[in-house]
Amino acid sequence: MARNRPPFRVERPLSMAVQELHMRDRWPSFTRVGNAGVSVWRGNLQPSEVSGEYGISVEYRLGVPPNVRVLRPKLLKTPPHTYPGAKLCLYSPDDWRWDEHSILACSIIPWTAAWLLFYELWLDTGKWLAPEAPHNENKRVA
Amino acid sequence: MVHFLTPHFGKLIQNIQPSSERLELAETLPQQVRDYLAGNDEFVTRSPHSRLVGSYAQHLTVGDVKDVDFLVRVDGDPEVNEPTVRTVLSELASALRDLPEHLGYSGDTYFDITRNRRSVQVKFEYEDFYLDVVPCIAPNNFGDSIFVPDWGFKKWIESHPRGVVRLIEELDDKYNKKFRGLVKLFKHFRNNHMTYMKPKSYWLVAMAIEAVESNDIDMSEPVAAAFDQLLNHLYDKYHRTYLRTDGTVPRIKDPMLGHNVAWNWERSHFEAFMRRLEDGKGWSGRALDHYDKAEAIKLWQNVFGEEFPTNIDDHAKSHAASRQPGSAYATPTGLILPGAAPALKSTPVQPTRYYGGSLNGKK
Repeated sequence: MARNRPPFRVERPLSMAVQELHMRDRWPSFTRVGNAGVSVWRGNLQPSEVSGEYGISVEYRLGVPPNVRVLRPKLLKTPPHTYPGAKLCLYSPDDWRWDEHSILACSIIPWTAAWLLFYELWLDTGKWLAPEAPHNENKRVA
Repeated sequence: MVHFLTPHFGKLIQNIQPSSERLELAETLPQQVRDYLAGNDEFVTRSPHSRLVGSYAQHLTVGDVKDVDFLVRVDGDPEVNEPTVRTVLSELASALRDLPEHLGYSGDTYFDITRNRRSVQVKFEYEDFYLDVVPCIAPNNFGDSIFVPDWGFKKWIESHPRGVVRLIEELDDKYNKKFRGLVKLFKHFRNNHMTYMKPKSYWLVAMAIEAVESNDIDMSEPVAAAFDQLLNHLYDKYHRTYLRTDGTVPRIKDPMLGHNVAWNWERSHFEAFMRRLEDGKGWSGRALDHYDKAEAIKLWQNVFGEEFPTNIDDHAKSHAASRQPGSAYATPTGLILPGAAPALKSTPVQPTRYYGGSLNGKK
């Protein structure tokens, strides 16, 4: 007797292996250490032709919003849109939520590269020249 | 705090780019002369007839595009000096005499055609623009070594200009589009400080290639730091020769063939170059170390002149406006571009609002 199938297909979360495939495809400098539950990618990003390279780490626990840090060089002053420990605040939870189907390579990493560009402009002008949402807008923490 | 002033350097490189009018001139005039020579019965060229070389072909022109070099291919055997170099240069100069009429100019006031050591120079007086037409024997087409005539040596000299163009492209790709910027800054530094006794552009390119390939320049650093390292590297490298009193000048290795390209560098010119390097590395080192941004800007202005901007607010705004999340793309190395890069697998930067922290730097 055939088993009853559920009325809808449950999509499985994107595995670390699939995240890694996307990362390798789009961000070749990033390498991964970790396992199927938690992984850390480290690599370099250079946001403009005259910029230096920034060492970046992306720590991802399956299904949980990833943490992105600038490893080197040390960030100067206290830039906007960061948490302590040089962790970057890349999106407002009002606009977008990380879920287990989100792809690091298509969201988090390009936002990080753009963050670095706006950080360099901020260092020189004192102005954050990209869209931003303040923390106190909704009292929530990403 | 170290001030790399990265957006200032972005604006500086924009400031020293040739104007669009000059670039258009550099596109159109050489093509007209190339077409004229390809159809000329008096001076027979061989398919594929001609190729652009030099700073323009290398995408390393700074300031005004004053001249464009291009090769015209002729038949011959350099080993037996056939045809003789003097014959080729004389015949080319003669063939180009009818060029003004072909291009619709009348009278001599608009044109000057001069035979040089290795080329025939066509000067468009009104446009203040030169074309250096270099005949060559290219046994395996332009992609390989070629031979160019040298009037003084009375023989054909091996050269590999298209190889240099390719090498520059490779280095620029390897270092995430930073190599060409570094060389442009070096050329602009020379132009800003040396009116006479200038080292040739090709020598500067060869110096920069050698420095970067020696791994003595950390190309992962911002271009400001890489430039400072370049000046220090060259000063240290040539310092021993500088101290000598026997009139020696350093060798500058051709990037492709290894021979000394600066065989005719005069000692007084070399010494002038070393003095400029010494000044430049002093200013750049102090600028990188200075805690005060305004003072750092002044020191960089000593290096690069008034083209180094004092205020970049407008540039920053327009740069940012063209690279907003939602319209920008990121290359695989993280370069943020205003649109998709056809040659690269670029990733769109999805719309976002950077969260929390401070608005416009205010906590």
